[in-house]
Amino acid sequence: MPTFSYPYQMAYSDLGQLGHIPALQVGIQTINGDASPIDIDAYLDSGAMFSLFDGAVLSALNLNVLDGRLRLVSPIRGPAVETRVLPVRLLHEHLGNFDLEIGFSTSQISRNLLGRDFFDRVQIAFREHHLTFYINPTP
Amino acid sequence: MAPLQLLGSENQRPRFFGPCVVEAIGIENGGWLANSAIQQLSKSPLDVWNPPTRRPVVVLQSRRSTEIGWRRAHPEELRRYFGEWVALEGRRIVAHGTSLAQVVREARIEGIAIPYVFRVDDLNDATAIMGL
Repeated sequence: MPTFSYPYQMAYSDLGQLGHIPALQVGIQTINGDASPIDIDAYLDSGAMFSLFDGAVLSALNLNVLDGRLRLVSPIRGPAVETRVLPVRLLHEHLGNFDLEIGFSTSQISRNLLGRDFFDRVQIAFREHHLTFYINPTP
Repeated sequence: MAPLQLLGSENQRPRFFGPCVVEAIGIENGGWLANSAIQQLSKSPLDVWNPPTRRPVVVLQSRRSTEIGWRRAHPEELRRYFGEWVALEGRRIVAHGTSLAQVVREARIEGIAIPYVFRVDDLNDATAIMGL
């Protein structure tokens, strides 16, 4: 029977009306680190093929969303969400830095999602009943 | 059905199987993933006889735990900013507005090098959220 170890345990973020969310508070900055980061909430979403962030985040990093290549994201219902893919760096004080090509929406979305491209870099185990997840910052 | 399968999960656990493997992934005693008969018949004796060294799990707090606690405790105050971006530092809203770039600029003018920003959603108790 395979066993896995996870060095870190984190509680879901209790965001009040939004409920308990498996999320990380991460810094995000330009890929070359030449601009100060901002801290944002990013929900862990293993059902998302790619990470998807609100395009407004790019403006705060002095990046132009339209500089990225087009990627359409198919939601559970309704028309595809247009995103532009740009490389950025995510920062976490314990998990390290992650250079990812994230899709940024060209219109407003409700939340930032860390998808399977992020899950490809770390191992995560959820204990939903305990509103806890475990994380190992290795693939 | 093997006799072991008739036992409660807490009794299925073979005595020779140390507790460290279970605790290493944080599963409570009794929260068994498979019955012990399967484990004893497993072709991976290494797992059975040489369980990995137990390492303590480090419980991490978000570096924004103060801000998250404030968000949870002050929904009425946040309701004033529905649809806006808010920069929150500790228990203080340092900037808010509809432009995230402007909110970040104002937060930095206030001396916040790395502002924590979020948009206040107009949700009610009947709303559940999903990824997309």
